Amino acid sequence: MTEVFKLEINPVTRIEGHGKITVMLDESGEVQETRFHVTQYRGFEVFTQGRDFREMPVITPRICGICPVSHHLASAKACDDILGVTITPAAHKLRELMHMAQIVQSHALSFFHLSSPDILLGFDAPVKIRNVAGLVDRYPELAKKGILLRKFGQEIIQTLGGKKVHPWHSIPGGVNRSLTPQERDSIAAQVLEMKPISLEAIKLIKDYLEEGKDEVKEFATLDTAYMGLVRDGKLELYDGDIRIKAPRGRILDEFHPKDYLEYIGEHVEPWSYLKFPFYKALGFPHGSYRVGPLARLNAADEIDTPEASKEFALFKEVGEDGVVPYTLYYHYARLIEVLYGLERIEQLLADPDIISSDLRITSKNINPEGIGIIEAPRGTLIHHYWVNESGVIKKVNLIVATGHNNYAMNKGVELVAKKHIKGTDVPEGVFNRLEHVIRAYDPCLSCSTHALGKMPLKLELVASSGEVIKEITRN
Amino acid sequence: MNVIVLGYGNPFRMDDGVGPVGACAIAEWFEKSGHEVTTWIGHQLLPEVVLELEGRDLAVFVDATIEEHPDGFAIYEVLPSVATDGLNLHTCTPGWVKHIAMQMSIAMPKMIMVTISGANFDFGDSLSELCLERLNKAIESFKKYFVDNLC
Repeated sequence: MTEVFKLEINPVTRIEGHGKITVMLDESGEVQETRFHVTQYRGFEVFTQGRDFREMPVITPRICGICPVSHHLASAKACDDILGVTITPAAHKLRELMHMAQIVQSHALSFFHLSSPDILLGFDAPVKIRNVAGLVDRYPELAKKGILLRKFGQEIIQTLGGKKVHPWHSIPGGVNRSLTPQERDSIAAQVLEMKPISLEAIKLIKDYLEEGKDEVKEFATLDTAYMGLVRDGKLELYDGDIRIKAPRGRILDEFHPKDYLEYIGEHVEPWSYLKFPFYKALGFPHGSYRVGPLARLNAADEIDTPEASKEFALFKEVGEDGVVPYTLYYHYARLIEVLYGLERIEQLLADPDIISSDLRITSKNINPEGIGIIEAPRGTLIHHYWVNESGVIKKVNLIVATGHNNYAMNKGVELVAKKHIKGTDVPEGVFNRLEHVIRAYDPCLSCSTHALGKMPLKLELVASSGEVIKEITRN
Repeated sequence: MNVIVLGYGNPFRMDDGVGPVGACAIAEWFEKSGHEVTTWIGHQLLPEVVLELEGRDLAVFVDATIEEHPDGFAIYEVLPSVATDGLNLHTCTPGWVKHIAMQMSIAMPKMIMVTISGANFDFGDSLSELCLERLNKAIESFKKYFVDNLC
């Protein structure tokens, strides 16, 4: 019988939620197979059945403690669709303002708190310092700026929705409050201080990508399709059409979000609670695509805010045919979106609608289903509800950003494992590289509960018989 | 005096919620005593909290603990701590907050920790009788501590 060894990283750290990586080795020590497992099950699609659809914008944000705004907004859009209403321009802009604040704060968290320790301190730095604490010790000024940027986004969310986490602002048919002129002016003054921070971070990541370009270009680099919302070909995060672009830049499809079921299927594997969405026309796995910052910038033709547009042009020069396949460029794309988010906030604040009181459209109409799609920080987020004639939820379909990237994360882990792992003596830095593949996608594996507090890292070497040959625990 | 009282913990895990409950009670007492007071409630401390402390005269942290104290609670001044074992976004301590503030050259107020031993961390949105009793004693003791040491 062939002896198979299994290396496990469980849980993967510095991501949102809990998952594990398994690396299977054959008897010669070569990587045979890798898997990124999502080990949590939340069940929101099931236990929301029987609730009134109007409750969904309050219930579904509890899926997540980092991006509750994304679920809040996608849910509200699905409810608008059930009511059959088009919300007022003021409500639309206020929702987008909260969304941009969410993009800024979530991306700041991903880059400064979770990923930059690897980038600035190195994949092979001692694990004891390779975290946000180590970052503060080594780069205190930069760390402070990251904290300021995140706080800025959170405070806009709190201003509109009453709380930084799990706010309540959007309602079916609109929003429940506007900005006061004083609030608007206060945010406008702060945004001017945030833009230099985002530009500094962009320079930092560009320097890193340039200095380490050999590793960068082969680190989990994949040929996949890319999916993101666009409006007239431009980057769009709140509304627009869904565009799927081929690895070489050809537009495969562009369709209205309400038609997503015609284009997107979901593959299931027994070893993960996370499904594998794919583009139906190409089937699974050939139709697998990526979402999130890198995918959005690859899918879009341009960005319509001035500073981000300049940076977007530089980004496009990196890849052939305007498509950048390098996974570590997710960080660069993420920071360009921070700049875009800050510029959109400026634009929205300059619009008179942002202090309007025309906030809600009411309707007694109840359509049998509603679909709400936005670009969450991590990628395209789909909320789809089916209701009865009284508005009671019969069925729910949620496709979250992390699911879209499931195939890419698995393949990325496999590529890095095959390059770096030969035999069972695996240096710690290699495990960190495997984790960083996941981190680059900034997955959110549903992160609202962390009852245990600390996240130990456990590595197991297991024979095919199930016997644990070697165990390393990292606290 | 400009005071911020920070209470953290999960109010749906019974005594883990003693931080938020205690923080509100202490903040109310400060307010009635004529101080300018801000209350900060959260599930856990985050690095961002360092910015909330800047410019204050006093910061009081209230949290649950699984450690047993002779009186069921402990009150002490927070000292900077560089300990990072197991550190992630969910295990920031007041000591680490003070440490990063120093690293970032952000002036910190005097920081006092009020930590209360929990007796039951099961699901539920109320405190156990024992924890509530400890909390009441801790609040009275904190008032005395404040008058004796911080006024």
